[in-house]
Amino acid sequence: MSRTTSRRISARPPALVLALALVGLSLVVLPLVGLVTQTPWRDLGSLLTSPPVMDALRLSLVASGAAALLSLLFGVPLAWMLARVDFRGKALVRGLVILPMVVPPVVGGAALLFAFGRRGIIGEPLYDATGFLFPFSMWGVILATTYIAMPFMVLTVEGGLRNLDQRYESAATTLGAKRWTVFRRITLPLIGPSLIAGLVLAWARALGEFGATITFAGNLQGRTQTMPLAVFLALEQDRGAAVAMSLLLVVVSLVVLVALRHRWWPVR
Amino acid sequence: MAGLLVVGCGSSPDGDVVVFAAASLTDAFTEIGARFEEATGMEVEMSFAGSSALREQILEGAPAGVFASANTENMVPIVDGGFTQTAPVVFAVNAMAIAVPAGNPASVTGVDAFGAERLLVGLCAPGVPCGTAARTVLANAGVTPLPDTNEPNVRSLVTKLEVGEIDVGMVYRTDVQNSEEIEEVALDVDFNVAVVFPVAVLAGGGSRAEAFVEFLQGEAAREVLARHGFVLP
Amino acid sequence: MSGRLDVRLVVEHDDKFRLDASLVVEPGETVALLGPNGAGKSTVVAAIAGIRPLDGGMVRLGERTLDDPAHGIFVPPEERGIGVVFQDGVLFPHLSALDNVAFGLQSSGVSKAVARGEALEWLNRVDVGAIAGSRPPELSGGQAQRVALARALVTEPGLLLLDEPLSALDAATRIQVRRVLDRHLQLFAGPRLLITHDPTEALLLADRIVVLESGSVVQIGSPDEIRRHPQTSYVADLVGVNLMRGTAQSGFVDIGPSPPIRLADTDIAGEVLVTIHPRAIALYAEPPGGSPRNAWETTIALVEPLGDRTRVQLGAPHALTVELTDVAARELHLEPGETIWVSIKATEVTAQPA
Repeated sequence: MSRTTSRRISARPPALVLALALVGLSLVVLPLVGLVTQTPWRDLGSLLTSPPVMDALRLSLVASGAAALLSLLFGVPLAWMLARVDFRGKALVRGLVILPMVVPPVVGGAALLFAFGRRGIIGEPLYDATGFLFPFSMWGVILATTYIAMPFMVLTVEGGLRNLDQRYESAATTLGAKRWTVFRRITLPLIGPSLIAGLVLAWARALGEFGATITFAGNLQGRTQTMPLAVFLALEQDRGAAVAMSLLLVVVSLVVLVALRHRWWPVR
Repeated sequence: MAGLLVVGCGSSPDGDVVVFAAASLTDAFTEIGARFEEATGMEVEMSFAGSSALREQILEGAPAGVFASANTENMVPIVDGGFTQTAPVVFAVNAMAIAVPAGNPASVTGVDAFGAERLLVGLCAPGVPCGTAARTVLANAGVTPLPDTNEPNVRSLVTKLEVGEIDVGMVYRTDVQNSEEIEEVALDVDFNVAVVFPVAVLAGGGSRAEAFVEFLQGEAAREVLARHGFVLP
Repeated sequence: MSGRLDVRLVVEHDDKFRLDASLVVEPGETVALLGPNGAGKSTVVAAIAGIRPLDGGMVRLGERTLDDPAHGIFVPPEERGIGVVFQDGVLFPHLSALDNVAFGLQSSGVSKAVARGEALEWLNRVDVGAIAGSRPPELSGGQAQRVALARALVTEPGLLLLDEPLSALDAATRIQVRRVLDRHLQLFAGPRLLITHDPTEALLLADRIVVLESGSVVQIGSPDEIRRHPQTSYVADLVGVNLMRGTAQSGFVDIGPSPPIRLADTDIAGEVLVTIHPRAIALYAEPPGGSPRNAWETTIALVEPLGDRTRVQLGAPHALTVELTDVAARELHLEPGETIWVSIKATEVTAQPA
């Protein structure tokens, strides 16, 4: 067999694999194509700059960004506990942490109401004492999206920590570094890729969050109506606006995912 | 809108009649459906949602045989698009009502509450029949509403009232009557609007759908509707 | 800063393995803890470094007690001042070699600039100054180990602990790094504990060897003592080889007295270490014929039965140790002072660059 032939053969994937992959790809691509063909291109500019859309975009970006950062702040210590500390009931805790990923978001939103709503176990005393309320405010949106997004952060970072050779941390300790220094100079940099991956996944999930948000935080333009909520309602009232916003959401997401493509896929 | 979509037949393998009904009709229609099945032996499958959501689904080709909407605006595009088999008929009339959680914890006294900043106010979203009607009522009363949430359908608004998440909301009279966890605060009859509920048989619904619509206008169904608080034409 | 290391390590593993070993290392002395894998060596490192607390016994370094469970004393690893050189280095992959070495100093508050300065000095001392800016993945095994050594020494620890420092290296690199180690171990004034499973490493680098078997110490002694007078079959199997230095040329090694030893390898030249396993040496009552290229007449110095075998020490010209079965020894009527013929195949003589 000549050298050129063998090279060509190895480069071409098996036909079945190719066919199935194409079907999978079309499942993802065709809805986007449909979206693009339905877009009211002439009115797009005015639609996108209208106050409801601008409000929704602002709220979505702020809430998803905040949710990603909060997921980082609370999710990393949680991941640390799960990966490094031995404690009883760890399997249960891990199950609970993943629950928001598995349970329908609307159910999550209802549960959040029972905890943080005005008559909730935390919400009621909080309201009585300070007058502060999560539902119907942006804080409610941030709470709901963080609830939904945090498991992504925890899972990714826990994986990173497990894959980290603990000898690096031991070595650092023998060199005289205290725990915080070991964490800051050795652990964090070495799990950097997982942190970024977790951040991006959490952010992406938060951006698209709908069920928990509308159930817990309500729906009000400028205060709680994120893009997904706005699209949902606009579908029944103003089809053109709905399509325009959907397109915007897709474009924003694509831009971020592609720009960070080398950072969020933790494979070297 | 794109050209005529293929409308699925109004009978499905699971049910003889598929009914799309506005969320506010949930309780009444569930009972009516059971009676219809008893009386005729035909199976009824019901789908409840905001009328505007149902409208969209029908326009996209959902296989419904009957459409009962909470206002005429949502029926118009259905008729114009040629999706109906018979002309729409008004079978019930509703009115709006001011609703508060049982016990009126925020001591709401009247329609002015909808403009009070300190209260948590809920309305249906503007495009939903309940929302459109509520805003007309408030305009009649000269009140500028300050809602804290615009719910996508009246059911979720009622739920928020029932769990005490909001202090006051404007829902249908029938919703207040059918829930023990919310109560009514008097609304001046001059401000109120008549919410007209039309029903139509959809193309492909066939004789079975027609049978249902007829049953809907009969004594048994009207008794149920009246009991749930609807005003009958 | 230099005190002796005095430990009694009692560690229980869940799988019923129990380590109970005592040893002492004086400042300026290199002790090798020798044992095969599974003998408990990595537990020893972890216990002395403080990564794993003891279940019993104690660790004392100089005046300080670092671990004493009976009295509730436990000094955490970051405060022990023990320099550890790990197997395959364990250099921080995201830091340059320079920053790796500077890490210990920086962690104790030294400014980055000063720490880096000292780090560079040490890297030069171990002859890897040129790669100071490189990251560990770019370094060869030998370079990495030298950086690891510098990293451990720069903090002027009270004890130098080397965990199998050569085992991850290929044969040629091992010889190179062993020379570096030998040189630099002498420069470190404190006690040095070398953990290894390689008898040659122990024999060449240590002043004293502690042999560990299944969690217990079975023999302690100088390399020569252990080599020549193993007290158990296990130690004999592990360490009881013949080891000599000599000059090789054209297939012969001159180790001082005549005759020179013939090698199978005719290419090797210069300073070499010659190893002959005691079982590879044959003894004859009469001059042997046949193929072996090495043969001479000698006298028996000592006959030591050792349970399942007999060890015979020979006299001049080459004081080798021979291992025979008890039956063979009896048949030859071996008595100290008797003359005997020695025969060794050239292929049984291994020589490596010293």
